[in-house]
Amino acid sequence: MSKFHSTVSRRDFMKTLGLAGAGLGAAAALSPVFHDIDEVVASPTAENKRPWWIKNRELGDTTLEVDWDMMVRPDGRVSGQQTETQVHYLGQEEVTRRLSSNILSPNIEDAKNNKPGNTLRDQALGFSSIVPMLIHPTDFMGPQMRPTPAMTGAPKWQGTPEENSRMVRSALTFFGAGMVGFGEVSKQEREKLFYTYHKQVPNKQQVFEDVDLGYEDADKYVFPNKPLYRISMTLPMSREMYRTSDRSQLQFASNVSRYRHFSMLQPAFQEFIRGIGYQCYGYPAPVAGPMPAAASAILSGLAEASRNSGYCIDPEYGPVSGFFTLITDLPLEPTPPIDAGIWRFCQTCNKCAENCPNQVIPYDHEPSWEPPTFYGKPDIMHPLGKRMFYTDHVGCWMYCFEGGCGACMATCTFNVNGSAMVHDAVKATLATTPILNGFLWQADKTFGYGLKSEEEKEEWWDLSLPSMGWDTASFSKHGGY
Amino acid sequence: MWLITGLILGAALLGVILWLRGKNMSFTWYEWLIGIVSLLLLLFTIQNFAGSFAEMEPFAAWLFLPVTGLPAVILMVLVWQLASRRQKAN
Repeated sequence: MSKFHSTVSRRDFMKTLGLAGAGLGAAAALSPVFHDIDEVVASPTAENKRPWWIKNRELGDTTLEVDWDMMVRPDGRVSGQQTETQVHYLGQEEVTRRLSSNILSPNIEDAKNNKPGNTLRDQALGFSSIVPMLIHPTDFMGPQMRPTPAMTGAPKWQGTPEENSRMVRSALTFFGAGMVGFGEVSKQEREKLFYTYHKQVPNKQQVFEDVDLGYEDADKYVFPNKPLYRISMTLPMSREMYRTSDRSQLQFASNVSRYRHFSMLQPAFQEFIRGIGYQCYGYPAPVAGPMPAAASAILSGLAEASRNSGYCIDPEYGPVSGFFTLITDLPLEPTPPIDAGIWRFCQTCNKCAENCPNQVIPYDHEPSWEPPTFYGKPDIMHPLGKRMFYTDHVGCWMYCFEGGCGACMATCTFNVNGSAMVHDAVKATLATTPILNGFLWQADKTFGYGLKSEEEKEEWWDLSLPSMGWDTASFSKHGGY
Repeated sequence: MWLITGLILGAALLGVILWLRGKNMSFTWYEWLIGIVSLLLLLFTIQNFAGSFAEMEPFAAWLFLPVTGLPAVILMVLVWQLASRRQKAN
């Protein structure tokens, strides 16, 4: 046969075509096809799949060592973000001076000088990003607009905890969440994790009572003494805007975007849960919930603890995420804590501490059960019972509130985008080979990842980036996204 | 990008095989091993070079050329030299 002609005969070609057709048919027959939402919920493939290097641990067994006996319920009124705590450490005069001008007030000088990150348009964007949260207040019990099945006579939704978990994950993802995890609210958590007094509504206690349905009155938020479940979720934010830190209104716009999204998400989700015959206990204000959101995120396997005790790190999306926790009586299947090597890596890496403009993040390499003193006074900001690093949250918060920061999250070794495959290779390596941790964070510095220069900050306005500032397909596994 | 990379790679591999046949040459097992490693390293370099530009990290993109690209090229040259010197010796 001539070498200039095909060596495939017509017979072979037709045979191959037939085999390919049969193969496609078999593949189609074996592939899951969903005819309605019930089938999606019932399918095990509705679960979130994660990379192989993220290992599940036993329930309650977080990589951050916890001593529940040492723990006491945290008081939401005593954190670095509360003025009373700031006054306790710094004195009234200093606090008043430092809060006299803050990130929310117009900075005329910077606007006149077109200071990168603080131009007039940057300031306008920063403020406007938070406005929907201010005009859409959230509520502990939810809007309660939709009649419950008990009111209409429709049967209450009945699903297994696994089915419910997948259903909730689908609903929350639709409403704007990134990753979603679950846990049962144990007796231990009620006694050790729930704030005594709410963080953002400081005159109100959080209590458990023998009632079927929780409620809110002038003095307290009441959770029922019955099986309850926590729903932990991430609301990722714009990495590019964070990289304009510090002293940047673009970073501030991204920072508060999670509250803007959450103020839309929570009432929608509360109505969904009400519509199927259950109750979701939400945030009375979009900025604070029933327990430290990081604790819930770590227990639910969404994230691991980090060097800066002010946030935690999601192995897929990194540190530039908001974490939120809702409570419900809908039975849910717990998701276990994870080990992606992040907490171990943070014990070697000092990048956030080095780049902190206010130097409030410790450089220690060995976490401790004992908090240090701050400003010559004992630590009242961190609840005891965790072997961790202790950030000065008063110093951190006041610096942030004065003019915006977030440099730690922006420069974090885990704050990387997804185009270059080296990031997945690095994450997989540090999850499995901790001996290379020192080399890997030095390499991150060498390759120049992290904060943008002053000249680069305003380039954000000319970029074409995903809607809402983050790639909402980051966690999707179906539909070809 | 991967489609174009695959096409170029396929053409290059075909070229190498035809060239080897034309010269009546063959690779030893370790030359194949080094060759495959160098090829994977080259692909890693190309992907990260393009990916880093997409991420708006030009410094990282250029740094991949000396850090992973150069070793890939050195290994390829090594395979070529090993094979051609062995051929000459025979």
